[in-house]
Amino acid sequence: MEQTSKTYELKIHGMHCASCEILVERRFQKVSGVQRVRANYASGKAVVTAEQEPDLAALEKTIAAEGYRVSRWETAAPAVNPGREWRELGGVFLVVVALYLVLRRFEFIPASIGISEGMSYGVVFLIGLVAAVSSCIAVTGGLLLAVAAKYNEQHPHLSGAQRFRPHLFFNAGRVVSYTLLGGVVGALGSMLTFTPAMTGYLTLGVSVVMIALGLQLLKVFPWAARLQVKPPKFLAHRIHALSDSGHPAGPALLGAGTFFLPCGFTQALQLYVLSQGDWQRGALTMFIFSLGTLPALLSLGIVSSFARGGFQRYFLKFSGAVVLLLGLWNINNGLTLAGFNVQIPGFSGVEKAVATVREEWTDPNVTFNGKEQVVKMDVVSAGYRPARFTIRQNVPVRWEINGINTYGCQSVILMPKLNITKYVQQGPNVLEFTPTAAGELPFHCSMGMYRGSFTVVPNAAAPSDAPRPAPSQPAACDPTISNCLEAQRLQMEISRERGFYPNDFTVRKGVPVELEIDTKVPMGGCMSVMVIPRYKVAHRLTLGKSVVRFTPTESGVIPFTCSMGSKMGQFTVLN
Amino acid sequence: MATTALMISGTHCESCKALLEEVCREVPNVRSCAVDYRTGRTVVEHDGDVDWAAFERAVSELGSLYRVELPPAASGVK
Repeated sequence: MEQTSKTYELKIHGMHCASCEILVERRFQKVSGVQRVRANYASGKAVVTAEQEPDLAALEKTIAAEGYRVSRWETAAPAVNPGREWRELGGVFLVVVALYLVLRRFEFIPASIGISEGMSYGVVFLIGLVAAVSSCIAVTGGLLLAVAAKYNEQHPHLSGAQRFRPHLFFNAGRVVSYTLLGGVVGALGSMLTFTPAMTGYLTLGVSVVMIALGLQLLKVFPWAARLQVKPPKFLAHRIHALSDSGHPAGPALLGAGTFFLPCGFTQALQLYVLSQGDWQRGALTMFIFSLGTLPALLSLGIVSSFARGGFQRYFLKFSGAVVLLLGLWNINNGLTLAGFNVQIPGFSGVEKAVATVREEWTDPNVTFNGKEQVVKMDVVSAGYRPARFTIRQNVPVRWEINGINTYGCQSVILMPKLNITKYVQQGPNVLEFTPTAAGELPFHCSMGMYRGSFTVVPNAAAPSDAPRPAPSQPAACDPTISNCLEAQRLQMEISRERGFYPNDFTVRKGVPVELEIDTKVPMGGCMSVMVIPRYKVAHRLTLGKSVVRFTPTESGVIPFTCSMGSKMGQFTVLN
Repeated sequence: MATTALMISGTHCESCKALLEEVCREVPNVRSCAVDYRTGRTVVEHDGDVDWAAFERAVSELGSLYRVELPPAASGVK
C-alpha cells in the first residue's frame, strides 16, 4: 500500500447479506484509484482505501442496478460526536416538553364538542378531528410515528412516495376496520373492548415497542439498536412484526388493530353506537369518525415520508424523543389500568406533594373539624390538585372535590380499593369514606391517566366502630320476606352529590331483581351505559327513571360496571 | 454455442445472482450465465469446452458461500 493512500468510510444502503458484501467489494475494486475495499453488511459500512477521495457517484454507479445506494458514512453514523449528540438531544427534549406544556395550556379539547344524543355526522367528524390531536392519539399516533420514523430510517433510498405507501395502507386498514367494527358494535349491541386490565397490558406492550424504537431513533445508545421485539408475547409485538414486513397487509392490519388501542373517544363513540342499536348507523358513525382522524394521521405520514437531508436528521431525533416520552407516559397509564400503582414522577400528572407525615395533621390540605377529616382537592384540566394526601386511619373522610375543569376523563374518579366510583361535576362535590386500613389508597381517572393517592397513617386512638365506607341501603324489599318472590325491588339514585347511591345491594338467588334507577344528572361518555357483565345486561342511563331487570342464578358477588369496565358497584347474591 | 445446466447451492438473494453471473463470465469460453437464486439452477452458455474445475475455483474464490454441483457429464461433453 502506498503511503499517500487513505481510508474512506462509506455507508452502503441496502446490504443485507454476505454476498452483498462481496458484490460491493468486487464492484468497487474496479473503480480507478480504489486499492482496497472492505464492506460489512451488518453495519452497512464500506471502508475504501484509495489515494484520493473516491467519487461517490462513480462508486454508486457500479452497484446502482442492484438497488444499492452510497453515501458518506458520517451522515448516517451513530454518535460520531457524543458531546454534540447529547447537546442536540437535550435541545430536542426541551422543545418537546415545551410544546407539550404549551398545548396543555391551550386546553386542546373544547368543552362544547361532546357526544350527545342524535348528533349529526358533522359533529362525529369534528370529534374525529379533535381526537386525532388529543391525548387519545398518544398510543395510536405514537406507535405510528415510531414505526414510520423507523421505516424512514431503514429505507433512506426509497422515494417519499414509496415511503408514503405504507401510510395509505395503514389508514385504509384503519378506516375499514372502524367501519366494520362500528357496524358489529351496532348489530351485536355490545362493546368490542378489552377489560381495563387487558387494555393495560396491551398499552404496556405497545409502550415497550415505542420505547425500544424511540431509543433506536435517538441513536445515542448503541446497544438500543440490538433491541428487537420479536417474541409474540403480546399482541402489540405481533403488530410490530407486521409493521416491519414490506407487504401491504402489514400496515393495513396495523391500522385495523388500532381500533383496540386505548382511546377515550373510540370507547365513548362505541357506547354511542351501542345506544343507537343499529348496525348501519354504527358503521357510518365509526367510518366518519375514522375519516375525521385521517388529516392528522396522514399529515404525520407525509412529514415522516418526505423528510430528507438535514431536516430528516432532526425529524428522526424529534420523533425519537416524542415516541420515547409517549412510551414512558403510556407505560404509566398501562400499569394503572392493569392494576399496579406505580408513579413515575413527571409523567403522571400528579403534583409533587409532601407525603411523609411524622406529626399529627401535618398535611395542609387536610383539616379536622372535630368529627371528620376534611380533604380539599381541585379537579383541573391537568388532573387532580393536589393529588397526594395524608389521612388517618378509621376517621371518616369528607373529601371536598372542586370541579374546575371536568371535561375529560378526570371527571371520573375511581378508588379501586374501596370500590368507589365518583362522577365529578363542575363545582363542588363531596365524597365520603372511612379508611379502615393503613397504607396507600390510590385513586385514578377512568383512563388511568391522572392519579393521586391517600397515605393512611395508623391512628392510635381509633374509634372501634368506625362507620363503614359506602353504606349500603337495605334493599327496598327485604329478601328474607317471602312476599318478595315476584320480584326484588331495589332503588338507586345517580346524582351529582352522591354518585351511584347506594352502590352495594344484597339480593336473593333465583328471584328476579328490578332495579329502579333515578338518573338525576345527564351521563356522558363511558358512564352513560351501565353493564352487568355476568348477566349480559347493558342499560343506557337516560335522564329520569328507568328499570334494569335480571335474575341472579348463582350466589356470590356480581359487579356492575360502566361500559368501559370500571366497577360502579355490586350485588351480593345470597342463597 | 452450447448450454450446460448445473446447480449452485447456497444462493439466496438477488446479489448472489448478480455476483455469480459476474464471476461466471470471467471463466474462459463462457458467454453468459443465468442463475435462479431461489432454486440454484444455473444455465451456462459457452463456446466450446469450459474448464469446469476453473469454473468451480472462480466461484469458490467468492468464499465458502456457494457450492457448484456439476452434472456428471459436464466435463466430458462438448
